[in-house]
Amino acid sequence: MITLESIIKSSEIFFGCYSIFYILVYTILAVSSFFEIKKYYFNKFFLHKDVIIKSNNALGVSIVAPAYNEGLTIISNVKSLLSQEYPKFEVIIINDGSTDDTLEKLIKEFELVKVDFFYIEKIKTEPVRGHYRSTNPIYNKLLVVDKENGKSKADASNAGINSTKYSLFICTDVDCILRRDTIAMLVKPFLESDKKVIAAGAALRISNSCTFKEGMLYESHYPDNFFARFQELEYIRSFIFGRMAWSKLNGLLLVSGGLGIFDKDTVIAVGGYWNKSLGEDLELITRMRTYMHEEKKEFEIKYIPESLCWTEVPDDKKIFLRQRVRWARGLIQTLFIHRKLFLNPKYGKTGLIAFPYYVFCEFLVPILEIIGLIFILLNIYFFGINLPFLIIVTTSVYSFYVLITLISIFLDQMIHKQYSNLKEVITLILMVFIEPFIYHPLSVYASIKGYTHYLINKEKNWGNMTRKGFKTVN
Amino acid sequence: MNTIELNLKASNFLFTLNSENIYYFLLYFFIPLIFLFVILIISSLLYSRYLGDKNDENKDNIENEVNAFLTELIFSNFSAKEMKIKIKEFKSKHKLNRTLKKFILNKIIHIKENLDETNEHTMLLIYKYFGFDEISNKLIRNRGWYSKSLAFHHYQNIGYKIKKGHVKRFLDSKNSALRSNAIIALISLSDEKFDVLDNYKYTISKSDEVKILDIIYRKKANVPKNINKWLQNKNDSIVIIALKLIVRFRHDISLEQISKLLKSENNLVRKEVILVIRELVMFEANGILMNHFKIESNIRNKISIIKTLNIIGSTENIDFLSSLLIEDENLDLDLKLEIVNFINKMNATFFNNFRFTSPEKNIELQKMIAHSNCLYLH
Repeated sequence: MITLESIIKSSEIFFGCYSIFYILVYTILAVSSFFEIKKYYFNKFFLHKDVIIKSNNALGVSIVAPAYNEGLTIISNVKSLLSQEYPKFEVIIINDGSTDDTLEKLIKEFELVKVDFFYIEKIKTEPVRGHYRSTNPIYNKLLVVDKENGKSKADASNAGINSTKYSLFICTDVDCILRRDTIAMLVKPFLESDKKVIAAGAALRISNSCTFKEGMLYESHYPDNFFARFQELEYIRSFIFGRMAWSKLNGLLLVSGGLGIFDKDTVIAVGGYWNKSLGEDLELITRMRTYMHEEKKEFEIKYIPESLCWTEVPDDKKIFLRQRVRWARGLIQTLFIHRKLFLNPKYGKTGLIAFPYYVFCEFLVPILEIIGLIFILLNIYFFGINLPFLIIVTTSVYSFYVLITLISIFLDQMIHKQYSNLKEVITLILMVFIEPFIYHPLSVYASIKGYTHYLINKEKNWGNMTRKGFKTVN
Repeated sequence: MNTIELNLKASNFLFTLNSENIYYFLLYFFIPLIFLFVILIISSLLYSRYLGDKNDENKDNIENEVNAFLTELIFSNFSAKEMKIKIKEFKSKHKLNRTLKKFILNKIIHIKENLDETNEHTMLLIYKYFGFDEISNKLIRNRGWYSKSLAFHHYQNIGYKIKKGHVKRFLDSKNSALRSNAIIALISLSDEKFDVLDNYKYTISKSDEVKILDIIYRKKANVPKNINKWLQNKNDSIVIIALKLIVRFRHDISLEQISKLLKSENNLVRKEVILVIRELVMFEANGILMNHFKIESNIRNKISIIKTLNIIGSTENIDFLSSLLIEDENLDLDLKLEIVNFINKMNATFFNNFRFTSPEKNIELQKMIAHSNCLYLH
């Protein structure tokens, strides 16, 4: 008979083995990330962005930025997007049926008029009401698409993609502040690779405590808000550590919705962003990879370790949890829909490495943490517990987690001298030690809630985020 | 006793046997090791930040002086001997550590790259008298491709032509990055014939293409003498560079060459040929282009042909293109839009009497005409 004791003992073995697997995976990722960053910086020196900016043969790039009720910051954000240093680009703002004065403000500030744009609906979207161009030649790179609300960023982005004229497009959020050389940096992988690059991304940073001047970053500060501080750590870990490692392994399954550049033909071939998805960025890349494998075409998805984009993150618990619940729903939804990829050799690295990683090391982790906790409580209640052993195992896991975050910070600081002073770096380091106790449980809670919402099929929405705008200096 | 029970017993046994070992492994090996790494990383993080701040401070302190000193050296007419003495004095006044040396070298390279008025010989003397040539020589002897490439970069930007032989050795390197940096440096150091490209057999990446064109433009050289030879090169990358240079220098290209190149299997070569016709406004290539349109398989190239017709086309093209609209009502919409745009521009009244059989297609046509007529969309 299977007794409770035997179940608990087996679970201990399982968790032990899982921990070893997890540590091994992250060690491989750490090494891969280091080599990819090193390679990037060695190569960076030999194709200076100025050469690309001055080139007569630059690849054309469209910036696609959906806006929903962004009246507060829309003007400065569009001006910031228009100030890119690049010879051949356009900015496409999609007003996704905003209920505030977003469109009116755009029309007034940029002297827009409605034009007879021949809209080809290569990707199906909610009806487009019209296109607007500026009568002022200064803003001739701007195109505004006004459409009916599609209850998703995906639908708005698709309308933007349908309106682009160049073969590469950058997808970003309208509230993101981009570095002036963002396009020049992001097209580099498309120029350098001998394989077809279908997408590329770069690191996002948190803008909550940064200062901006004329739409550009002026001073970078470590956030002073409780939630933003931990999210900064999470972003560093995710972009510098995770994404760079997966870039090296050519197994990237996610290019952030905040900033990514895509090959338009491939995106259109797969049907664009899926408007029912809550993790449209993850879902799109998964679909693009699937398509490329099925077409038996060689491809690459690259990440660059440059901080090119600053975005405002939730600074209160309610909005933070809402965002994370949506992300978790997006994760489980994507994994479920694309389950045919799981350990399927037909899909190469995607099926055999990247997808299983997302299942075992992203999706399952919060669930296993909860199960592990339940087993510990059962163990204590029914059988007592070997306290020294528990402490040692917990300390091991904790210290490994801390080490991984510190390695990410180390790599990040080696790349760029982020933050204005040493004091902020010390604060950042201190946060690493308390993150597992304070922030991590909240993330786990949000993930479990997201999975539950997906299973009970709760209705989704755009996920409004209350913006406070940026600190600026004159 | 069933199999599951047996398995569980076995694993319990294993676990009991090893739990003590695991405990001691974690306590005496794993945790101390991680702890050691944590301490190491934190120390390096703080130390490198402190050092970085200090170096920045040093650079800030010396920057104005370096700028003034380099400006004086570059724009005054010092003799080589005077220059040597001045640099020696500067070096003895300032203790130049590795970071500061790198800082000054980068400044010299930056000035050389961005100021047209600099004298190549003066820049070379400054580079040598500061002792930077020794740094570059050490780098090229280093085993790593990055160090070698860095040395190429110094030679290339300073214009150290005598080092061409050192760079040439790496043209056939197995390391593609090293090979690529070597060809770029050689083109930069070569005379205006750029004959190093004549027999280059490797594929040139898009980024190298951008770099090569940048060098040729910056050198303000005349059109390379071998350009016609490059057009016949078996390496498509060289052909593409030649076509781009033809546009840049507005060099002549014969209709015979155009016809031959349009037959290339590489659609990127064909794309460049179409651009050449457009940019050089080759009215005489109209017929060739129309004939090629019928057999072109790449949709982007087809669209590019119509865009080119906007520059070199005439009303004579209307008949053929309008027949395309009628023959295939479900033509690719991007291509159809370009065709409608062209016809509408050539003859604004042409579509007054033009009708498709399908009413939907007629509505679509009217939208295309409206797009074409909109001032703000072009």
